[in-house]
Amino acid sequence: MQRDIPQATVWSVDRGAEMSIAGWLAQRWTGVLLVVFLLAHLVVAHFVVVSPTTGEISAGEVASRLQSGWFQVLDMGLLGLALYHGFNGVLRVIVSAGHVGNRLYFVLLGLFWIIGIALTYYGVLVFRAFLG
Amino acid sequence: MSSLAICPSMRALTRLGTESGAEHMTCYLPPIVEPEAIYDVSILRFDPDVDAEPHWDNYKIPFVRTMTVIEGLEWLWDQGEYIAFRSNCREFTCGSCAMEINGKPALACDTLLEDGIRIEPMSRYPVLRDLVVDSSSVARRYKELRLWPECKHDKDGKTCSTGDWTIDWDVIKRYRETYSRCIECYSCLDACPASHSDRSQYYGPMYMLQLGRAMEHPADEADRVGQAARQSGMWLCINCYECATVCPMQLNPAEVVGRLRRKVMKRPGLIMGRRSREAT
Amino acid sequence: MSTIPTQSSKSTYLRFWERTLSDRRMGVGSYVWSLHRVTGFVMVAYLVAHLFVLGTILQSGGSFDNIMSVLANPGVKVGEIILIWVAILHGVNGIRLFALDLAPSMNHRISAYAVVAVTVVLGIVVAVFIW
Repeated sequence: MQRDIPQATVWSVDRGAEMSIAGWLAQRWTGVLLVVFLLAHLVVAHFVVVSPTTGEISAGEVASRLQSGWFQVLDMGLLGLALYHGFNGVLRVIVSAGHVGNRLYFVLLGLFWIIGIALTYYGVLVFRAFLG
Repeated sequence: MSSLAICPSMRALTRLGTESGAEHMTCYLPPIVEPEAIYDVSILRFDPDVDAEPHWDNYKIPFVRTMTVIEGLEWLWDQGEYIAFRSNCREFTCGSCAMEINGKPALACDTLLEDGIRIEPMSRYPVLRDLVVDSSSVARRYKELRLWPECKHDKDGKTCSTGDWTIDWDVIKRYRETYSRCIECYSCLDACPASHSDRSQYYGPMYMLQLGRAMEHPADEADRVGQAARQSGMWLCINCYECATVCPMQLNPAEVVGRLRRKVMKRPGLIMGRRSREAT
Repeated sequence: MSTIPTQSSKSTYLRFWERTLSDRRMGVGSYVWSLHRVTGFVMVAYLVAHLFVLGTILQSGGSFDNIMSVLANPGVKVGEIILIWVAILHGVNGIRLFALDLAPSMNHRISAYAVVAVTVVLGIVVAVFIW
């Protein structure tokens, strides 16, 4: 029997409104990892290392902590994950406010990636400065 | 106070007590009853032949105990104020009278009239007139998702083989308690912040519920999980559970979304496959 | 048929925010989710600021130690406490959102209240610790 079943009507394909499953999962998993990393970072960087006399954190203490490989992984990983999760989230918020066309979406996406990579590189520079 | 005495609807009277209701059930006109209070009611009116855009009108409706929004609107009709609205069963089981009351989608027959109440049509659909919206796009969405028990044999043009499944009373009982309770009032669709209309990428909570219903149907052989993953846009659901909050039947469409997401995550081929928007 | 206007030309998302900020009650999950979005925004801003504060190490003249001594000011502790509350709410609610999709039987209303409770309790504990 002949049936007229329409395919999903494609209005204009709004790339911003699309969301890939992998992207959704990435946001969730980076979030979970961030909780762990952030907890470790707060404990290590802000409580353990604080100088007991002045209550300050000096450059020397930070540098000594960062000699160990684990802390390097922790800090750099935290930075990269946080930038990805954060900028992805901000992009999602902007897109869900509506009226974001394809061009604007890709401009924003490119902008966020560029800023993210630039900030990561900046972080690496800061890193190296601490190490000597 | 005779000038303020009004005739409440029969329904309000019958709720006040059997005496005042029963003795007047035989006569058509209800008795004159003193109202408890006069409520200010604001209704968003729109007449396409006359108005350029919707505007708020204020009315004063005398309130009798247990009076609902529907009865308030009917009282206004009795006064000659012909506000267009849909209603049918008057007992929160047909879903016709869904509208936004105080900014929240609800069934008008299930909501008591309050002082300062604001009544407007559902914001998801185009307004035909006053409180009546054009929800004809729902049929298109249903067809796109093929939300009927779909048989693989249908594609061949041959008849479906129904002998492969048997009636399972547990399934029927579960359906009666969950999916079949959906009255398709569109309240959840109106409340969802992720699905703005029937052209949004996320179909909406009601469609997800229906998709779950098709998935669990014993006679359905289509790949509902694949549809959920790629076509329905359910990844845009933000789990705010507003749909569950406003559902008059206390259903939980967002929980069905979670269930469908779990099923998708068990199929890695779907995850790494094509973009989530493409239809099956 | 003449063109029929939709009720509002604003997106549902913006209407949702209006409902959140008005006095009309919504479900608890919606308020927690609204806070989730706000706290996310705040943390992204803080992340960038934090990075630039750390970046003072790149400048010569001991600017890093200068900034650190400025930040050891007790007034900054208030900001830190607020930030901790922000981070706890976002993190715990984020876990809850993921768990709602993964766990078959978790109740969304009870877990939303639990998130608020955990945020308050943990926030107070950490605030006392910082102070």
